[in-house]
Amino acid sequence: MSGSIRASARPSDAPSHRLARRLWRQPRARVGAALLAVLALGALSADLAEALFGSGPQSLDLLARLEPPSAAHPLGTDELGRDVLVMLLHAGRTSLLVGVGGALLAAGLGTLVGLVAGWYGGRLDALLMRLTDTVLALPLLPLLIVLAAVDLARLGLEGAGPLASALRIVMIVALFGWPTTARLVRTATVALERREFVLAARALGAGDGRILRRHILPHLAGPLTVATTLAVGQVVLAESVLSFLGLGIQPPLASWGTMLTRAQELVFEAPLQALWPGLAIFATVLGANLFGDALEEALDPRRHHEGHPVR
Amino acid sequence: MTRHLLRRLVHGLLVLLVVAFASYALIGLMPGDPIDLMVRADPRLTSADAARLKALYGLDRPLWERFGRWLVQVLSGDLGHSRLYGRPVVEVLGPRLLATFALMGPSLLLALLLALPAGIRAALRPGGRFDLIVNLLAFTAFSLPSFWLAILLVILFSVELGWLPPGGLPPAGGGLLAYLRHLLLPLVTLTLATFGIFLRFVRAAVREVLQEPFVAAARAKGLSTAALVWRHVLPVALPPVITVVALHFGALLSGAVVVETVFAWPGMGRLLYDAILGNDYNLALAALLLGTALTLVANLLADLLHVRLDPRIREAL
Repeated sequence: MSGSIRASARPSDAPSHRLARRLWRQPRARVGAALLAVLALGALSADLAEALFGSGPQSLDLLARLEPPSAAHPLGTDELGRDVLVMLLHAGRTSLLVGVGGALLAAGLGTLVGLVAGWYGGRLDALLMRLTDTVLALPLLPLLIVLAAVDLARLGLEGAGPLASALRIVMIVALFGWPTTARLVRTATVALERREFVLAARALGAGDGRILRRHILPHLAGPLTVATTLAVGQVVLAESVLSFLGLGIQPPLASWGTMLTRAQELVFEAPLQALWPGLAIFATVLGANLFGDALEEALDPRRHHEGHPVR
Repeated sequence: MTRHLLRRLVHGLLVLLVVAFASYALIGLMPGDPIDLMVRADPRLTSADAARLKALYGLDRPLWERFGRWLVQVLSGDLGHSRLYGRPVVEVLGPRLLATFALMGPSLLLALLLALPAGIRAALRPGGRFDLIVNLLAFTAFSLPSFWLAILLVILFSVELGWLPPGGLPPAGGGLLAYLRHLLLPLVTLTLATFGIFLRFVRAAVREVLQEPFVAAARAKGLSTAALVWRHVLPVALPPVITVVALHFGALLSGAVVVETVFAWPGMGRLLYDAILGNDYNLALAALLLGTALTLVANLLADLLHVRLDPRIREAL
């Protein structure tokens, strides 16, 4: 009996399915997802490509410098004779990892600040939101540059390996990436804490921690996903700028930004070198922006009823 | 009103103080402090000499004390000497600030002049062809890494076509035309991202106002679209746009750092970058603080303008 009822209910009416359909209807979502998928797959297959083309970040071939695209090297070779495609995929691994890591860290920080501000309200809220707005308005890049130039050894932190440089960029970028999420989470928290189910939970004697964890956070999943997706683009952009300026990812690690630094020196000799890394950054940021925007709209169907055109 | 202004002013100064302290502390953590560099350059200097030198310059004192002394000095109008340029910091900053304004001012204006009509037109027919094209353009514009765009423009217009100089300033006495030719590529690069962001914001603000009942009422009276937009929509939609433009000042300054660095445009951004890489503490600090102060002033001005333009807020104060 109950089985037949379950069978007759259309599975596509589940809220998550409706959301997916609303999302997929938008060309922005499809294009964005496709771009991000291609880039992620590329980064994952970096080792495969290395084996395939027999050229890795360490294999120099000075007799084959700056070769034009060919069957052996689909995107040509760089100034040290390394395969540009393989380099691009390897760099993409760094850039995307830093992007996702930085975005997650920023989202975590922002969620914490937004939850505390929205839930406790009052003076703490005013103070935290002032802080948020201030960080949002500050000239970010100059401060990032100063932070990136800090000598870790002077803080008593030795072991500045290549991984440390990537980790540090993740942290620096997250330090400035949290305000957007914090604002979003605060607004949502303030709206949620007046809802009946929260009042009911409180009436039943649930503590702050439990209500926040069990009743508020799950409702924030949507907006948080949007914020994190958009943040991936911003973080990749920030990392590439810092790396391009020589203050981000340090060799032997490479990112798209560091590839562009070298390419800039070769604009007269081999202008094509500048094309691919920049295109990869552009595709990542565009993909994240498109997908994030489409997701935001799918999560908020009210935005669909945009009224009639004005003639 | 006065109280509101006063409160914002105090807040601004407080932020400036915090940024100043943070920058001061961080810049002290950059590799290569002047005494260390001296010791490394001259093997005859013993560690005792180094300690004596540090004491002489007060570098052995705790951080807050050094910061306090520096702050008093700055407040009395002395920003110190630049190590890189061998001149007082104030003298170095002046012309650089002008060069940055020559880049940022026209860029901001251009972005607004392009974004306003395009955003309004897109908002009038949401989902229309113009809206789609404009949206696509906006997404592209603010997803483009500005330094990549800069390199591409240099490759196209300087290397391949040879129409425009790849960067820098014209030699002295080159005239206005030469100056503008050098300004063009940096200006286009800096404007594009800003344009994309403004465009989306104008569109959203106008759309929101268009859904208000008073717009429907005005249209029901038979008002033309132009009159509707000018008389009823823009007065409501513009104040938030102005706030966003002003809040964008900091981002524009960040963009200027990148663009000036790639194009070797001798502005504040390039100066800051050179100062940090060249261990020029006084110069880096002054440039950082000036940038922050300018951003805060821009925000304050936006706040005041917003109050003037929006009667609802004026009443509330």
